[in-house]
Amino acid sequence: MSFRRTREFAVPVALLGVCAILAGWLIPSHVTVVGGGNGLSPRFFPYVLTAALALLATMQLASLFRGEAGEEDSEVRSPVLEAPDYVAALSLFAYFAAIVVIGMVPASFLALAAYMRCFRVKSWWKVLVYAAAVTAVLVVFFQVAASVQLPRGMLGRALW
Amino acid sequence: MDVLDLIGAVTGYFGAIGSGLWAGAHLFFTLSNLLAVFGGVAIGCLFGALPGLSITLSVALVMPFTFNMDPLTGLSLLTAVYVGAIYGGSISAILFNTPGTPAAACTTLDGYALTQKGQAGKALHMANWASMVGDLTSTILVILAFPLLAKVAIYFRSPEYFALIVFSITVVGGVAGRSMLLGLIAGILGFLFSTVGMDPVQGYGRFDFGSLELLSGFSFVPLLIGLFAVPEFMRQFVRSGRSDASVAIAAETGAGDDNHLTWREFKASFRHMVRGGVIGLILGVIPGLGATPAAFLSYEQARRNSRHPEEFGHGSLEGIAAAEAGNNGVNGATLAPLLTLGIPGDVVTAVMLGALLIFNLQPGPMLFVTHADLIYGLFCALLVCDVALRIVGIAFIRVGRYVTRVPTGYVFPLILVLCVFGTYSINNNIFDVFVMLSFGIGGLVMERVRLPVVPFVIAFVLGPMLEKGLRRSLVISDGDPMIFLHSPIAVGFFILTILAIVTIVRSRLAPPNSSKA
Repeated sequence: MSFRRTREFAVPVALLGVCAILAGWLIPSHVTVVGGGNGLSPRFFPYVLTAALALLATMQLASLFRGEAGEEDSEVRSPVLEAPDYVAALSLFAYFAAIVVIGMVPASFLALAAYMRCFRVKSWWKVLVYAAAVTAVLVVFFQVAASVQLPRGMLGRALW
Repeated sequence: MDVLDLIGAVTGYFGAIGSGLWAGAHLFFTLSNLLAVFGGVAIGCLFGALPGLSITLSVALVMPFTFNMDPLTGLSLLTAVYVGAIYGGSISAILFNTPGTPAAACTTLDGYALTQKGQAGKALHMANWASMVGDLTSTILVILAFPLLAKVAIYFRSPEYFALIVFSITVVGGVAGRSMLLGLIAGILGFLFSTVGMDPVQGYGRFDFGSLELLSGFSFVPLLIGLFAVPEFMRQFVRSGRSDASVAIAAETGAGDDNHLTWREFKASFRHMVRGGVIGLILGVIPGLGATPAAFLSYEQARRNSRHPEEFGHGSLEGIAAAEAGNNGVNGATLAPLLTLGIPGDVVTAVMLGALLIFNLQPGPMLFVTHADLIYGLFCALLVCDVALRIVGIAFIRVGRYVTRVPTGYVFPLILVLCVFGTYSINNNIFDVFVMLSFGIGGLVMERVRLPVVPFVIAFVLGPMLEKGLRRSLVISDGDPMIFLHSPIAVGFFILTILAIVTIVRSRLAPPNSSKA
């Protein structure tokens, strides 16, 4: 079986796995049983959706077995996420972690500067001036004008 | 009923619309509302002209800024951004053969051909006029039909809402992706994510894992911004890693003249603009179809009715007029199902639904009774948007070519930071930022495995309404599912759902050439 076919089959199979986890563990463990009677408890709707999802995933699987998949193109030959995607995703979570640790304003300034460099803006002074200006405008708009208490982070709370 | 009664009823109907518009105008015509409309159109044009920044993203990014505004000002701003972004998409489509939005893809067919002939200015002016006339046509028709729609909406109860939502998600799922099954799977996933948090009937927690944040459920705006902005940012980030220098959003073009449209050219295209507005209205009311098919259908109708069909695709001004009027004609129309039934037809109106709820306004037939002045005020905003589109549009014809040359290195980091600040400001909660980033990565994965995002988002919004419709109906009928077949309206929607499935499946199975005949 080609890489493309494996990937196409993986989606409905994964969805069927999700349905099994939902029906067998998540819904019974994390949804309270009340209401009973005609199956109208808070569990009812998630069960209906899980059944519908399982049905659609099975139909998708059947259509793939019958060879009704779309035309092959170069896009589907690549993995779902490639190394640069992981780098991009990690950088986003690094930004999030920086917000939690040093606060939103310094983290955003650093993120702006770092991303601009990643986007090949070569002049350091342009990067720093732009990042500082944007951060200042955002602080004025959100913190001063709209009275939003921007998170100070663990470090910010510890220092002042 | 004799003729006099009929005349009286018609006069009363239009009289009520007139007095409603008068009251709405009193509410709307303030400096802040006018600034919101003109500013919103300018922001929309800017975002629309930048390829990669979608209409949805522009509306979602502006939304957090509206929370401190008066409801009419906030809604006017969102509407104006929507109107401006649809027009803005045509600027890069005409100048660089790169549609700023999917809805402008049809405009590239003739727009770029005119640019290559040195008539970019003419094409841009035609796009601007057509956007205005198309939007105006559909808005006027929506205003005239709205009270009637609101009266019909009063007959909607739980079974009817359930059937309508099933129909909506079937159409949206069917047309959004490459496969109807994948579209419907995305829709079901959206419904499943909407069940996280308290259930909408009894208020018991579901899938909260003991977390207070999850007990409140996922907020809509972080999810929306995550699904639309973050994947685009990641794509641009990866793309930037493959080049040595910061690249402009669209390539420069040699054609830079600014010639004007003649009265004769405008007159020849006017009927295509009006027809495009009507087509946009009809397709805009149907959930899920939106601006892109409206543009192509309007274009095709114009080609069939034109005296010069051979010019279409080679630089026809009539083609630009039809495409732009078609995609702008949906603007007013998409508001009709939202305001009368509370059902968003596309992602932008889903954002508007979120805004209405934040302003404590429950969309549905009662909105027309309790907040008629606000609705008519919003219609006034739509009409003023058309005027603003002309004025701001003329300015953008001159500056648009420079906007699209801004390097990505300045635009996308700014967009990401704006998303983070905007998301946080909604609930002052860092968890929302985490949700946004997580759904952003999820959105990228969905795209790669060909699960369309649009049905997911609309199903997420409609999930609680669907559950209430289903469970309340079954409570009323003591568990008997036949209640859904006792209502003629619900049965009508179930029949439409089956017809939609058959039509979509048949159109997907048809050979590609058959549609071009």
